[in-house]
Amino acid sequence: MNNELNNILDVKQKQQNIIEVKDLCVEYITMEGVIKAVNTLNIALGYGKTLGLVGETGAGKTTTGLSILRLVQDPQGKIRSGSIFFEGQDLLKLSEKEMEEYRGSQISMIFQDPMTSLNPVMSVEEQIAEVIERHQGLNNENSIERAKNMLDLVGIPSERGREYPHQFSGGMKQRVVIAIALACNPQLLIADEPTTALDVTIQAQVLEMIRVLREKYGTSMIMITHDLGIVAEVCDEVSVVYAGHVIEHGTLEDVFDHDLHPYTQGLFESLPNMKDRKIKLKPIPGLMPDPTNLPLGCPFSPRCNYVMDLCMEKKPERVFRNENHYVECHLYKSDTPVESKVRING
Amino acid sequence: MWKFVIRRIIALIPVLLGVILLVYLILSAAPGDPARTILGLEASEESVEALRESMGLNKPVIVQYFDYLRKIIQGDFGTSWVSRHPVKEELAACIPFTFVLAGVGLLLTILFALPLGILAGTKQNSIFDNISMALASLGLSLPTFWLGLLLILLLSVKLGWLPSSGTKEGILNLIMPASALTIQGLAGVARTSRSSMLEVIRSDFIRTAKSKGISKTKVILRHALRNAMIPTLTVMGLQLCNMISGAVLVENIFAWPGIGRLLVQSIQARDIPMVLGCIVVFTLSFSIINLVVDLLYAVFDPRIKAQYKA
Amino acid sequence: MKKRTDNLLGETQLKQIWRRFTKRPSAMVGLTILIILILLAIFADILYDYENVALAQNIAARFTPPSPEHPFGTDDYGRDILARIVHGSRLSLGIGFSSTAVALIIGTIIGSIVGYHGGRADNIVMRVMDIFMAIPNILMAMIIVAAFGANAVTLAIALGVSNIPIFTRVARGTVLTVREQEYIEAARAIGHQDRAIIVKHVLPNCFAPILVQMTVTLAMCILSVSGLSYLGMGIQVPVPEWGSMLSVARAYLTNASYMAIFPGLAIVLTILALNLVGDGLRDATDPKLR
Repeated sequence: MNNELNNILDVKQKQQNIIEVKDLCVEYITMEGVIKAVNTLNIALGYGKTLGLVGETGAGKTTTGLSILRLVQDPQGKIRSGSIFFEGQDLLKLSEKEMEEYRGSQISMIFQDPMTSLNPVMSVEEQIAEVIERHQGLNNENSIERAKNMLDLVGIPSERGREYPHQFSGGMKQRVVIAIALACNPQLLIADEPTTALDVTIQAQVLEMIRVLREKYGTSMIMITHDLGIVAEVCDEVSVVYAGHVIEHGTLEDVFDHDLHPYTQGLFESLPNMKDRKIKLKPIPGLMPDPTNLPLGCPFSPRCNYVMDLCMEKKPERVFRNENHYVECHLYKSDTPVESKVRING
Repeated sequence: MWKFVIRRIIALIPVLLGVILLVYLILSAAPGDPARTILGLEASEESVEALRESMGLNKPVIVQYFDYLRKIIQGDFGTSWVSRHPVKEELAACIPFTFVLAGVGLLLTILFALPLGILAGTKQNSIFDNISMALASLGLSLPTFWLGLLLILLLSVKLGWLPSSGTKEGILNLIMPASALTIQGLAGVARTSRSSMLEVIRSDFIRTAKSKGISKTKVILRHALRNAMIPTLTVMGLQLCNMISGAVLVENIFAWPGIGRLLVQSIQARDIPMVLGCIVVFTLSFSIINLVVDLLYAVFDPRIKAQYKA
Repeated sequence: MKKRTDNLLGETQLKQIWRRFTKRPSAMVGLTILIILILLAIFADILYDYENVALAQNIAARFTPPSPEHPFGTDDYGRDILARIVHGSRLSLGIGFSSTAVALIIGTIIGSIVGYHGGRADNIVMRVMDIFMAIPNILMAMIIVAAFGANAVTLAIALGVSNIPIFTRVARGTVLTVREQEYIEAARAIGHQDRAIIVKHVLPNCFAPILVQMTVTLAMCILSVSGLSYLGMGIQVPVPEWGSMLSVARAYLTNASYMAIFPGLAIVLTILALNLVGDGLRDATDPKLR
């Protein structure tokens, strides 16, 4: 953690978790059946840190992010059970009005598709000013002033504040979204694949901007992504999500250098080899399980190279390799030292 | 912006010309001799022929058509074959009545259907939503002329509260025809404003707005409403056009002296100039309504405003 | 061989629409009513002999209110109203279906060809359609009927013609969106002929919106038939038709009010059923709900 962040957080905060999600279960009720999007998911994040939530499309990462803000679409989506402790407060027990106090001021979210995240009929400065007006009690004029400052901060000339979203490029739109999210200095920022819809060059700019702003304000972050490169750039800790459940978690080093779970191995192996272009691609065979019909036992068992009979019947328990790094896989037993069984180099 | 308006008005002209040509052709193709119809079966062959000549009926249809156009540009809509009065006069007398009817209908729609639909959209699947949409479905299925009959039956015949025809009692006369005319429009607008509200509520930017901690009501009013208005405007314009053409039926049932009744009478009497005059009025009204709707889009959506300025 | 537009459950488009349609009770109710009405229309002759019951006058039994013998009462000529309503359904449904079919087929073909090829033909055709659409359906039908006489055939043609533009628009609209999709480019790159592309790729995508529009137009045509007959510009008395029956009832509101109720109910029921089916189809084909 760098010096600025060090100064912002107090002693107690540095040792605690800003957010803890415990045993979260979220479902979507559709015409085709009940989709179990999130199944007993557990994550924790320390103050000032960045957690990468990694997994394929449909793993339930976005739903988790939305659940923290309780923005899961109500008619279809329901948070079935679990708790979400933010600075000690269980968000799921709050009333809607109380939750509104948190949104935008304590916890913010950046969404995936900048093209559709902004209101097409409102100017960009108005949209930023809105969150400032809501939480910081300023009147309209002052909020617009502050909004213009935010625009400058994210690299958009403030004279353009009165323009409408359609007049900006994708990258600039995303920067407006970031400005909205950070306008009130939230403690926690949830970034849901913020760069997926953007060009690679813009991607770097946006990530850099997020980094700078975070350091300035000491914001903790959950980065939802399927891109391991971004994880390596940005994250302190990683939770690997499969079928709505965390199957491996640890620090960046833990997971990247000592991957334990066959799925994690599969993720790394499916990256194309830049040095030797002749090596064949190694995708993980099969698809994620049907969320309306999840398998008994370990959800990854149908696709796993190391599958055993036990895997199909019983869900694996959590086994720790060190203080932070754990995995849920029958390959590992808690009574024997845990060394990667999937890594060729250990 | 004005360039856009002018362009649209200019674009109107070929459509108008086309409409007049179309109607002209169809009516001219009708069997029968208008001159004979006017003078009656007993009239002599010479007088019929003389009348035909004076009415220009012996010229080719296309020539008649251009003659007519020339006259319209000068403001002369011809003379009614039935009443022998200038068409323009009768049109001018009838237009206000139809406009009053349609205007009241529009007002009622804005006052009732719009809020109803939007509210139903925000409370999807609630009891309020289900009941109002069921009523709307029913409303859409009621034929205007039957509704008119029922209203007359109930309010005029059985209860004697309202007069069943004419205009002598002013506002009282207006109530039933306006209600009959409006029900379908009300239902249509309620349903569309609900469905466009439903669609907008699912948008990503609504989610962004909610993530700012703004209360649900404010999100609806400030963000959803303006975006939901655009498809709703289209339907309101459409329903207004429907109301004007629905006036044809309603005015007949209630003997309301508007353009609709005039048109039906003229068609029955084969009074071509009058029919054409009415059609011109109808077509112009629709085109103007469409133009106004398009302009209102620009008020609500800056993207469209930008398009128009280009 | 996989059929086009397979979804997660391996269904063809038709099956998927049907499955989602059947899940809505209101839609199924509408469909049931519609089927019953169609059956009534088909078997009208068996239920009530046309000449003797629907047409023959029976002065003695004039203005009988509803009774077990005449469930809907008798009219001003002593004819059984229920029988006339059943026979009337043939005209309403028959003209409605045929005019919609005409409009649908011609409109879709024109719309898809013109939308696909674009260019001057597209411009000219759409201008012509604009002209047709500037005149409301009822008025257009009125004018055609006034010129060529009022009977079932002219009504069907008039309504059919006046509804061609809307189908053209719907088809063209879908084609314009589909045309820009990459799989069309791919098909062309492989060398498929335009006609084949239109039939195999473009038309199936039009299917859903055209289906929905069909129910809307059908309802409108049936309403127009009744409306025109009410004004005396459609089916003429004494042929039983719901609208013309209502126009007769107008004169007898004071002493035989039941005459005004039942034919109207028949119209309402038909239109309601069509609207419910239309709504069900709209939801079943909505891509956002997939």
